[in-house]
Amino acid sequence: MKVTFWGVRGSIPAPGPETNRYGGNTSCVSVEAAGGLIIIDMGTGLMHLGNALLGGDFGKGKGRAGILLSHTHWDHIQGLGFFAPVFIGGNQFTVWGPGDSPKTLEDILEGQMDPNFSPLQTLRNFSATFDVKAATDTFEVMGVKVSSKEHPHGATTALAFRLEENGKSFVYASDVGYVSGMDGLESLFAGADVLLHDTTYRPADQETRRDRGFSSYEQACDAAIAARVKRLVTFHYDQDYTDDDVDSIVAACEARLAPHGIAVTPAREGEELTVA
Amino acid sequence: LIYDTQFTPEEYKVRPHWGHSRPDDAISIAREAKVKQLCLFHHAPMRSDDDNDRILELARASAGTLPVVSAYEGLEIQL
Repeated sequence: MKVTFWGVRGSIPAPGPETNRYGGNTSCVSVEAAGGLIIIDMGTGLMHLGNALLGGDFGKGKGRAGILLSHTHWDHIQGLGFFAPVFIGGNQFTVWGPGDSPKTLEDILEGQMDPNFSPLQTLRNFSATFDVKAATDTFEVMGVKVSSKEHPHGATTALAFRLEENGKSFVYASDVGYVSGMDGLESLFAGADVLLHDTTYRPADQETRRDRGFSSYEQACDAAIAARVKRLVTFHYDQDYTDDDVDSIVAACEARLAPHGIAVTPAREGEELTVA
Repeated sequence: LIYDTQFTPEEYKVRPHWGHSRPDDAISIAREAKVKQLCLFHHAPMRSDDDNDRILELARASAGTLPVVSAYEGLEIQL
């Protein structure tokens, strides 16, 4: 599986000279598997992924992809209306996300297109097919086995996903607001080749923002150690952090995880990581 | 006058129903309204800084004596 980072910022886009190195777009990651393309979250990074896809099958209306959606806060859905491949007939997308029924999730995404918020007016203005499904504990997407687990995220919850193909595993766990221990995420994370986990805050900054439902880099490291993963990807940096701030978070993770033999890869816009 | 100039004239031709404008229209309207300074604004999301520089150059070339600036984050205009 090849993972590409299109948006790595938390909560709100944070463009500007101080965030150029890591990037200012919000959560969006793509996974190229043997069976096809899987997109995780639809933050503003999705626009750039969509433009990059136009050079291939998606530009000809012959593209197919699965989309995994952790939750529907703005920074995880804002790119949808600017995702060029949905305006090309013939492309096919299936979204798996939170909610007791597909209708619950579809109604939320439809609300995003309401004329008061978007010129698109309705999801039905997409030319591509756009099917919405409720994620279950395990399901298959583009030939990849996906497991999902709900976890606390402030006043709501979000989904973490584990993708497995050819004996390799990639876990996406952003916006994790631990309440009690690891809140049942141990088995989802266990032994993962790559664990992408939000490292939204420095511990001191988290103290004053406890109820927002994000992890500090220390909590992400502790989860990586407890679950004996091989590599941690830092992700979903707070919008107030400059590139230099993120550098210090990455260095702190490296120092904390090196004794445990766990590698660290910082998520940066446009960079790729092969899960091997 | 701060005016939406999201599209180039070529882009506008295929997206007239999107509800955004173009620099040449902004210049004609500013002239007609006897505006003293025009500010290009609401740049298209995929426009690079270099693209915006070129659009500003073209606008200035056709605006004659009308002063034109292009809005950027942090810009201040004293009235």
